[in-house]
Amino acid sequence: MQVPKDLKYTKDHEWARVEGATVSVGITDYAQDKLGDVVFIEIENGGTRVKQGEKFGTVESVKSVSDLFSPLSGKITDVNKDLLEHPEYVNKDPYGKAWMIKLAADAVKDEMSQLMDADAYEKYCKEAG
Amino acid sequence: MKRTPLYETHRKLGAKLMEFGGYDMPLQYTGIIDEHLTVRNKAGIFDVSHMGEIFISGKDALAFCEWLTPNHVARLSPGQAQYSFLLNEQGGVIDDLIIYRLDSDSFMFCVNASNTDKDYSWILSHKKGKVIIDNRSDDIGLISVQGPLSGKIMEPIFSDAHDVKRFTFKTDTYKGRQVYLSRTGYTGEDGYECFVDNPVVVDLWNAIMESGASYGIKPIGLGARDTLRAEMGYPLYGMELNDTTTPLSANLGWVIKIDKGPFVGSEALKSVVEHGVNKRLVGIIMNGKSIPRHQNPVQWKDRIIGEVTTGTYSPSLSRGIAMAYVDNDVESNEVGIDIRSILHTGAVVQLPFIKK
Repeated sequence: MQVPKDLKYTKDHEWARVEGATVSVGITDYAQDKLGDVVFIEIENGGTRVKQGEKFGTVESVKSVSDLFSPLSGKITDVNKDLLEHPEYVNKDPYGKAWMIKLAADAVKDEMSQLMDADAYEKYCKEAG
Repeated sequence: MKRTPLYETHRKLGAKLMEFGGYDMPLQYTGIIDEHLTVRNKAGIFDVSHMGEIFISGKDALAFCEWLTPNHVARLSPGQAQYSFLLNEQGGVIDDLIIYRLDSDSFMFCVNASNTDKDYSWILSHKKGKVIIDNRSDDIGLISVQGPLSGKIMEPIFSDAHDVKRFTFKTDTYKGRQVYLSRTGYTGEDGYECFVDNPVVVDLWNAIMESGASYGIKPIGLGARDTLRAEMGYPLYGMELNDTTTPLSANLGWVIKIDKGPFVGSEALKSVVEHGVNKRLVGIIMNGKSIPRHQNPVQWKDRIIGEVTTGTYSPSLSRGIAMAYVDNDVESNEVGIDIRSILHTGAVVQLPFIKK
């Protein structure tokens, strides 16, 4: 299981990467492995405002449906349209080509501190099995 | 939770395991889509040892099976197999099964894992005449090999594999143990099912994997088994079939030989035949990318006309597909499916979804 050190993680298995003023968001390697082959992704439109922990889309594998929850509050500034055409990127490259949204975050510092770092997330996944 | 003789094999192969029918079974190995397409294009091997095997033998076995099940058992010669049901008095489905005629007075019922105990009790409680009923589910393993290359893979192991025609079987041996080698399956592809005693299940699995290596054989989990059967429109007990649904609604009227003489459920089914069915089972292919799921409501205009029984992603069509019971008076070629409160349209199609 890959858990990049430079990202922060939610209990719902999303990751957040701070890139200057924006934060990109996706789901983790652990999540894609649990889901199996991802075949369909729905994401809120650009411009939508989401709160931390609020749903911003759904991801479907052959067998199951999971909601996507935003790690931070803010405005969605960009949606990965390439990913919507190629949901399999989630399985192949969860931290790269499978980024889902970019957020203009409202309170990066405060909210990022509530997320797990890589070590804590890895421990969290091991406990979940 | 029960384990099949192949449990350790699945773990070594890196399978994701899940509970099914009381067993710890492989859900997937390499991934459902890859496994699905392997079976469609080459061949795959499945451990379906969780399936139940109930043997019925004795002087009155034929008459008893004829009473117990709606298909024409007497038309089976030894070595032939037949799709059928156990029905309740109302014509509802207790289970769907394959009947193998082993001998003039000896039969094997292959039943769903989750229903084995229920079926066994039902059969015992309806016992008539001189028959012996034996549930050997815990002693017998079942390996299924499915796909266009399955004949090439099985012929080196069973010399008579080529001669086993569709829906027939032969009694063979493997390592001194008896095997029923059957040309049946649940995928729509050519294939075999091998009923074999537990102690040689692992050896036979390994021999098939070895024989199939150069043909690209892969182990296939229950995830792909479900998408394969869904593309063929094959019903699954608990989804399309249950104790309040008759086979007539499920397009399975061809199994019901209403004129063969009385059988359990025949009176109720006669009345259904006379009055017609209220609901019928249809296939729906989604127009967009959304994937219908079990129990999603089906709509036509503003009216709810039914419910999805099986909804999944079809790897062959790269689309969402559904089987659904809908009101029989609705003739529309297009319906809506309410997927998480948003209506998506789909085309009503004849089953199966893919023609083989």
